Amino acid sequence: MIEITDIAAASLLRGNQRRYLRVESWLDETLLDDDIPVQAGVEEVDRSSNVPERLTLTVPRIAKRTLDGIRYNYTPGETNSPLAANGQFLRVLVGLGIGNDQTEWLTRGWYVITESKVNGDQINVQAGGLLWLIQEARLVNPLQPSGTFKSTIQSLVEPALTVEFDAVLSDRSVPASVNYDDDRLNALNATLAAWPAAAEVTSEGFLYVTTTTDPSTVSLELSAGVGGTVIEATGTSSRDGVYNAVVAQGTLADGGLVRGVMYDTTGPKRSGGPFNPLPVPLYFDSPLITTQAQADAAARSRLDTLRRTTSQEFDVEMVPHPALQAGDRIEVDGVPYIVEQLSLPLTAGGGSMKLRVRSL
Amino acid sequence: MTNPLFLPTAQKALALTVKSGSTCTAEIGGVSTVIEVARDLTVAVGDALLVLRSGATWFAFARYSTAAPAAVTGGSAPPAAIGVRTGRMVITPIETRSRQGSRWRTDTDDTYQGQYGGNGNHIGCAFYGRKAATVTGATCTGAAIKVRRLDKGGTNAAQDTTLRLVTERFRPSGAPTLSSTTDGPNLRRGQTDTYVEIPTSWGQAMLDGTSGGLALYEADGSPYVIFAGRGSWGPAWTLTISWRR
Repeated sequence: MIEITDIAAASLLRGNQRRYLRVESWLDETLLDDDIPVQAGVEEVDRSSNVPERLTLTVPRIAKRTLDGIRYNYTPGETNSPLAANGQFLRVLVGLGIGNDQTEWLTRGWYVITESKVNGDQINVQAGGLLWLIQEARLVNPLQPSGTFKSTIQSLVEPALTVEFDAVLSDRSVPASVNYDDDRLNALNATLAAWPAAAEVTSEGFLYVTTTTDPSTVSLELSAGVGGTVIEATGTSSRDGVYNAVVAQGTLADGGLVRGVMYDTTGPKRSGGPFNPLPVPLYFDSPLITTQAQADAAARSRLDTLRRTTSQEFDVEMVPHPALQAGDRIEVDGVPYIVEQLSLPLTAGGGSMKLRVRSL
Repeated sequence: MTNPLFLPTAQKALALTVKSGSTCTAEIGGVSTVIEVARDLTVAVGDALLVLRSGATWFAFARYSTAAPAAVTGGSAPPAAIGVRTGRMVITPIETRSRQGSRWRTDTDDTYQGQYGGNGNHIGCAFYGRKAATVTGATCTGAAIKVRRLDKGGTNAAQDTTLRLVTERFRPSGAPTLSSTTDGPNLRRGQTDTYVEIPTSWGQAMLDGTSGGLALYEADGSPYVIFAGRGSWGPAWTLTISWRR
């Protein structure tokens, strides 16, 4: 949840909320445009994707620019055009009217432009979250970490992303002879899984590494009802990619193998339940796991992550709430859920906000 | 790495060190790599090795050739890994706010310096949150801010301002803690400056987490000027820090 004042939170509960949008374009440290005129836009987040955040904007090809007041052609032809995909970043801010002509601005996030296409008098812009930079930057040379988990993660993502580590995470040395071949994002995810830890890009634009446990604080309480929030079970149910046990395997200092095994014992797809009387395991192997306790912790953490695919999911349709983020814990009529996907319209007339939540 | 039958394919490597414990260092594809060595395999410097990859670890399982070759030939070594990382971090303030007398103003998030009409002297603050300290341990090589003086308040001509380093990263309930002082932006009304250099030591304090904000403040209440906060201009008070480690 993006932090907002009590006044802004109260304004969101009122029926006729006033919202504003401001999109800036940056190239390195240079501000290219401080208020791109956006006709329509939507932010989508899916926690199961490699790069969770996606941004889609529609911008008029020619419009008055607030930076200097001139009519400007937004066609992404020049190296430093605000909408070109040469390293241009978009910072998205949503303003909430809080009365007395005051606006509280929330930073929704930073996005790297991946594609801009002219379509008649409009430009369609696609942008992705900052993990896009990590995904496309495969390792030129194999990386052989020699320090700790923290320094390994910093080596993988800096300077494209900088990192804050949750103080509750306990750092430890990375064993010698670990060698990450070419996929930087896979290497990051493998390091996180073995620690175990989870990472998310914050709205301020840095990587926050924390534990894999779900948040315990409720960010938003909703009530289902006519004309308000609508919640219904999704129409999808599949056995594909469902696991109810995890086997995490590592190597002891003396070369012996160590295995941590954890079973999902709750929910409709629990191990030993009607889903399958036999466990359906996921295996993963990491040289970063060097003790039984680490193997158990990694297996438990991975199982927690996998529960996202086995928990029952619901679709929620609600009035846009610009402070809500994927990963937040919400309650609908007192029942807790975690937000796994969201779609936030950024402009007036963009319709309602849609969430996919999973039960706890 | 697999062949079309999905059977593992061994690669050739050149031993750069003898086996020590369970590992040695070998050149694989031109890159010096620490590898695990089979328990019953003796490795001498210069030995030609066959290696296999298991997950994120290389294993040497055999030596080939009748003696250590002079070198592994063919191909060119990739460039050495970059030893020093450098970066430039753009940090937008999470809040801009002015403290007037003993209270924080809630009618505006613009940043004021000075006093107007005996209503109390201002401290115009920008707080930068957690981002700067995400490269703790790095060395700051430069820092600058972007500011705009609003076209209202004070005289039209450019005015001196004084910048203060603020300890808090988030707005405190009471007065902010002001420390170091330097000359601030000197702008006429309506003027924008996208590169106002601040002392490198201030940038370093931000990276170290010992400081977290900037402020405009004149103890004598003059001159009176109004600089844009986040609401009036989105990039107001954006801080750029260059760093290396």
